[in-house]
Amino acid sequence: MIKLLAWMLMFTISLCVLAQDAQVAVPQAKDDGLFKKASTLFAQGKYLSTIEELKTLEVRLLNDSTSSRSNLGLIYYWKGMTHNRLQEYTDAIANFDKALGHDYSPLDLNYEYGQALFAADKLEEARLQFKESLNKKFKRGVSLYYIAFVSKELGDKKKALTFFQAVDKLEKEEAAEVQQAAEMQIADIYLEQVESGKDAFKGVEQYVIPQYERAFKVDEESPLAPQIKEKIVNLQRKYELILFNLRNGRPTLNPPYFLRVSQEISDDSNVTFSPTETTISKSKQSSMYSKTDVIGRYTLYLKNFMSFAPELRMNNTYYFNRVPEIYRNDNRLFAPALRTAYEHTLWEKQASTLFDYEYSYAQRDVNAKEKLEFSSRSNTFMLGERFNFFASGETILRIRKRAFTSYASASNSNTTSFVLEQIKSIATNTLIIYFSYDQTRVKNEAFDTNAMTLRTDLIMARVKDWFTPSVGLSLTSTDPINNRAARGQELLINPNTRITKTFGKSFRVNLKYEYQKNKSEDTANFAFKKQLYGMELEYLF
Amino acid sequence: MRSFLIVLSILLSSFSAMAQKNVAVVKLLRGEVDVVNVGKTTRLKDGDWVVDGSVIKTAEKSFVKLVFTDKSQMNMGPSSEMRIEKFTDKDASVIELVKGKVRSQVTKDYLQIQNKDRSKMFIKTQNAVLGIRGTDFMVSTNGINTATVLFEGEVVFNKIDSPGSLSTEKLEQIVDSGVRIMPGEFSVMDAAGASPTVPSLLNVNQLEKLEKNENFDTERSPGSDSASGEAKSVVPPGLTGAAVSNTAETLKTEVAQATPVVAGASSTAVSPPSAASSAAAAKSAEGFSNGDSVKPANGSFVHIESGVIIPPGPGSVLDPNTNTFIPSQSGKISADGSYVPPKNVEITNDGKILVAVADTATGTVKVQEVPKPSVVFSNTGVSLAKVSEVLVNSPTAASGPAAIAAGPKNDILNKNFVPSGLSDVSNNQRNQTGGIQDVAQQVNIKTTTDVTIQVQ
Repeated sequence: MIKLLAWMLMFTISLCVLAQDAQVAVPQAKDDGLFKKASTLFAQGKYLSTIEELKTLEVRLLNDSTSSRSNLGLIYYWKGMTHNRLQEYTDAIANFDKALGHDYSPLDLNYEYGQALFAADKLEEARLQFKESLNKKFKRGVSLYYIAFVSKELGDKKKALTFFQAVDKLEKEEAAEVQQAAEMQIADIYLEQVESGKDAFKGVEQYVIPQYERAFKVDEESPLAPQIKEKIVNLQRKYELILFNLRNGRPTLNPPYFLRVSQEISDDSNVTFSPTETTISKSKQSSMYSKTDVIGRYTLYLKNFMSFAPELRMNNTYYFNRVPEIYRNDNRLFAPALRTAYEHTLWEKQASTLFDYEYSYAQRDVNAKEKLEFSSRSNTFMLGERFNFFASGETILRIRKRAFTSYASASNSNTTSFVLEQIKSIATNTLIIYFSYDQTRVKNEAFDTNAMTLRTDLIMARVKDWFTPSVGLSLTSTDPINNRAARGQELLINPNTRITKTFGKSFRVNLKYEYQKNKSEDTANFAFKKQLYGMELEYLF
Repeated sequence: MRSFLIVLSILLSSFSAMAQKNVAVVKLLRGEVDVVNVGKTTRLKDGDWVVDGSVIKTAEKSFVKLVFTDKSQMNMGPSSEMRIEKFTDKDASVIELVKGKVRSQVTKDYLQIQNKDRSKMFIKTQNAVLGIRGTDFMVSTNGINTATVLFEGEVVFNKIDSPGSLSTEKLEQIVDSGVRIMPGEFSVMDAAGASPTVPSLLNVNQLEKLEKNENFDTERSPGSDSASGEAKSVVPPGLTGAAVSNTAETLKTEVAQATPVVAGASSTAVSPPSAASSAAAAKSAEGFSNGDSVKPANGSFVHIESGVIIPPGPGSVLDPNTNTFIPSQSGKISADGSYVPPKNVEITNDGKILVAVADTATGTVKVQEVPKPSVVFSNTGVSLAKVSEVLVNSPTAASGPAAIAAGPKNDILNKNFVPSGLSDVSNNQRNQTGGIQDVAQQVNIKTTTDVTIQVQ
């Protein structure tokens, strides 16, 4: 009986112990799942529900004598973080404050708290929090930037400058996100300083712009880079460090250089040979050809009324069908030019008087020896006027005089041209109309001609941001004044089309097609028709 | 004879009405809701049945919850009109939403269609069709554009030229080649667009409020409607939202320390992206525009009534936890999930963005329409909250939108408005060129039709 009682006693005691263990285990299990719901809601971005859940937990913990202070601190911190993500900065501030009141200060609390204070315009307090964040080594670069920027906002430029400059002393990785912005802010402060004193011009040129340029060079492709560039340009404009507009308001070229390299591979269905421009030989054979072209120009300004633009063009054409009738067309061109413009106004609108000189030297396999030899040279002078008579676009009138020297002296010629160009904007398209009247007098008078050319090009708007189409038609009527009986009035019909696709800032690809038909009564020498199609890759520097 | 004809017609219409089967019952109703069936309009009340072919119309501030025979639910918002074109539990049903908004919870388990990749229901609007494959979603249309937001499940969404009679097979083909929307994402089919926008994550605040407001309650208490869309940005000038954003890594650690079980408890637990992937995530969150394929920035707001997308403005911070931007100065979300534009800006139900502009010359305020913003995130540009201020400062403000589109002179605007490159290029290049070929070549490279205000 005693044994039985002893067993019962032991059993009861065991049960009590187990029951106590169970009592201990129950709240533990409950705590394990305490933040599960809030965690899930937060991870799902359900911030409103997260806050509701955290509020429930807050009430529960406040009424729970076993709850630790740190869990309440965590809830306030978490609420603050969540309110920040909802841009509810007042609530965020209140909760971060409470978290700190519970001696709860995890690594990023001061940073998030600082951001809330910054957004709420409580700058002094924000600066203190970012200093704490910096002390904790949390997002040091950004924290330092905030401190510097807030100091600047509070008018403490000296301190701001010190903190912005301190960014440079951080580890490369920490500074990476803020270095360019800090350099720009330093330039902003310099600017304020020099503009508040005398001789701002000198200060801008010596300190401010170089500092902006330093900032720009940190990362020339960043989202901030264009803003910095714009600041530089605005200062150059304001202090007239660079000429932006000519005296009639026409903008100067920026950049002043233009360089284009292109490579074309095309097919010519009927390669024609006309090195002297007085005769045409038809090969009646097709050939692919390669044309490499380089053109460069640099524009210099004399004060604000005159520009000079030396230019150089070079190209080389090579035919792949290596039969004499074809490869004698292989050619090379070297053509320097000097273009000048005198800027003035006409009818109170922008106008320019143009004077150009062009020289061209051409080599060609004129003797079909697979060797390029001198083919021709020319000197061209042009006097023109560009003005705005029509509201829809500029008009250019030119008189052109060309002296042409051929390898065959009988073909030497002089050409006088009268040219009219008109640009017209039609909605989002551009129409270019070109008309010229050319009088060509050849040493061998049998080849004298008077010709009229009318050409229209319609450059259409970009299609769905993908490609730009253009179509053109050129008609040239040639009167062989001393050989009318044999040739009659000739007409060259030349429709063409082109599709251009631009890649990035500099590359573009052109797909080209054109058809040429020259009607002449001298079918043996002058009548021909051909099709040309090809692809051209261009790179613009 | 005349009496006979009248009786005959009454009989025929009765038979016709009898032939239509009950498909849905009214479970909840607020305000004035009518059903039009065989030309006859009846005011609906709780417990009423609606039949196949009915047109249901809700008045302003009205709402109706319909529970269909397959147990799926459809809640119609205020000022909406919907036609039950075809309802069957053997094949996919077809609903036409003429205007307004509908929230639907279609549970695939209740439908007797085995193939999970086939749509259980189609909702057509004037310019789009949704294929529903078991889901909780909202769709709205103003009769021109269509916007859809997905809360749960999956929908496929595509453009249609007209909502005319299309077989379910044809509709299935159309949606199959459309965009697939995942939970939390939205897509808009703009009337001018060639295809719906690539699905993007909706602003988390708007998503949650819309999700909670399944009964289209426009008079919900303000609750947490304290966020000001016009509050100062936390991004100081010079920095990007990505640079100042903070992951929830510390929070995760703190939570894990407080309750160790939580850390590994669920795959949905707070888990910030790694540093390496965060830059890529930020880039993907910005959206893109590639021809007809346009993906709005993650975290954009949607003006549900019109389908206008409001991207996060400059100075928005990326929240790595959700990979969405926290919009700055782009407006706010009311307690019912509606987008509320910033002060001085209004978005009409037909999708116009109107800005109140002070005319400094006359001392009056006038309303000016501005083009829709680019939906891709940009750190530069003007936030919607600042558009009014910018236009006030613009010397072209008094000349109306056409003048803005032509490219204003104001420096601030020059930065943000993209005028046609044509005139500049042609002027600049012609300055130095002699021949027409050069002009054509120069113009060619930069010719653009896009004359836009880049409101961000």
